[in-house]
Amino acid sequence: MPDLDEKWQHGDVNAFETLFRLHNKMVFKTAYLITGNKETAEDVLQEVFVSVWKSRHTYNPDKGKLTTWLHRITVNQCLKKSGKSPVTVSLDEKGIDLPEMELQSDPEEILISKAEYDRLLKAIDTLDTKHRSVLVLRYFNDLSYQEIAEALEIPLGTVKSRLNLSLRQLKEQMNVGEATA
Amino acid sequence: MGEEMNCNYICELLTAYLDGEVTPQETADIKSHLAGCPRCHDELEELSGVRGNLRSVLKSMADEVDTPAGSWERVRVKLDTRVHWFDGLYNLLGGRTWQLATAAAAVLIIIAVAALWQFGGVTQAPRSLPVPAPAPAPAPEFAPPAPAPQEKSPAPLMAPPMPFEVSVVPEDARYTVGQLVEFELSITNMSSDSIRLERYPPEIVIKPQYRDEIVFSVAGGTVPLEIKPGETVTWEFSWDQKDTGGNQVSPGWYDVTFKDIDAVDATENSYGLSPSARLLIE
Repeated sequence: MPDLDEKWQHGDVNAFETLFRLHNKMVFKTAYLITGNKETAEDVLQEVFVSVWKSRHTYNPDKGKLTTWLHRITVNQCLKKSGKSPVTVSLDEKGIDLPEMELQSDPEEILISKAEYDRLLKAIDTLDTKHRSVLVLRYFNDLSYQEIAEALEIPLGTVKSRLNLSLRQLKEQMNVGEATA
Repeated sequence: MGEEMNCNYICELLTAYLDGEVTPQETADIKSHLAGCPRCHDELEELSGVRGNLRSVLKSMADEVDTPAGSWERVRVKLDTRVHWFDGLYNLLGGRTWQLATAAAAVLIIIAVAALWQFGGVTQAPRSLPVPAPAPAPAPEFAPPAPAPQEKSPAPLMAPPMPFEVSVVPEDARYTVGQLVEFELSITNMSSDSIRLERYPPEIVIKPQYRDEIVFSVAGGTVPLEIKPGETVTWEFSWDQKDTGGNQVSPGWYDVTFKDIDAVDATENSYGLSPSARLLIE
């Protein structure tokens, strides 16, 4: 959407509001999944867009997608927040309503039991922000490895190893949870 | 390559294999290894299960939340919308960073040339020559190039800077159950002309955060209000934490929004915003 890019980069607040409306859900949900906390996710959302506005002249649409830039700022803000609070934020102790068994009601969805769901949430809690970020970018935002590498400014090989390590840690933690259940 | 080493090599690639992010050669290696290694085959099955469940859980968690009401307004009041010199330069050049960089370089060159022109007689004088007497002021026809013109008014595309400042104090506050909640909204006219609020006072709405359910509201007025240059208008608002039915609301986060404030400046530009704050009852 080159016209929109041109306008908000020129300081047009109305165009910037359109940009916010287009991308706020993606930023908020990504931040929520990484931090596990709604209030922190809203803080991140605000800081991301204030930061985008301040740096509007440095963004070059010819050099990369806007969403890549947004992902980078979002993850950086989440990492900043994690530095101020414990690295792992308990997802289920922060008042998040766990979906009930409705997960099994949709035949298109992969079947997952409530017990498995809980174990997976606990396993996600054991990951630090850095590893959660790559999982969220890959399995929620559906970014390719190359896109994650560009967003996080890390080598492709690091993306591969970080994702593999994170997924295997989840698997091991789930096995531990199953054994102690 | 020993069997153990081969298993380690393959295990490192399994997630990327599931994600379709391996090379054709790696795919062939993995398939060949899995055909004869039940342990790695089981590992792949387990990782595939966790991966599928993870997608499902992340989607489910994301579906549970939505951007809180008033988020844009909270971002909006934090934006510095004053027109900067780089906005003007940017507009002049039609945007894009490289053009901006080129222009910045050009401006620097102009400044450098102007400086050389101004001081060149002294700095370029041969060391062996006596320092000349101070040169008379240059004649007008030899004056250095005029500096770049000052930024003019913004291009038509650009939104004018907001002629007023809005603040809600406090932006975030914590209260115990039953404690009187107090907020103050201020609007200061920063321009040299009067601005007009279309309706006065603003409607106030309180909702639990992340829920579209009004627990308390105060109807807004319908009378316009003029704010003179430099003048600040303040609304003080207090709430006893009771809902519209007179019952104490539950502890938790609440959004307080001053709704639909429409301000019009001297040139009839209209600015609409709904500043908000949030509070925690605990």
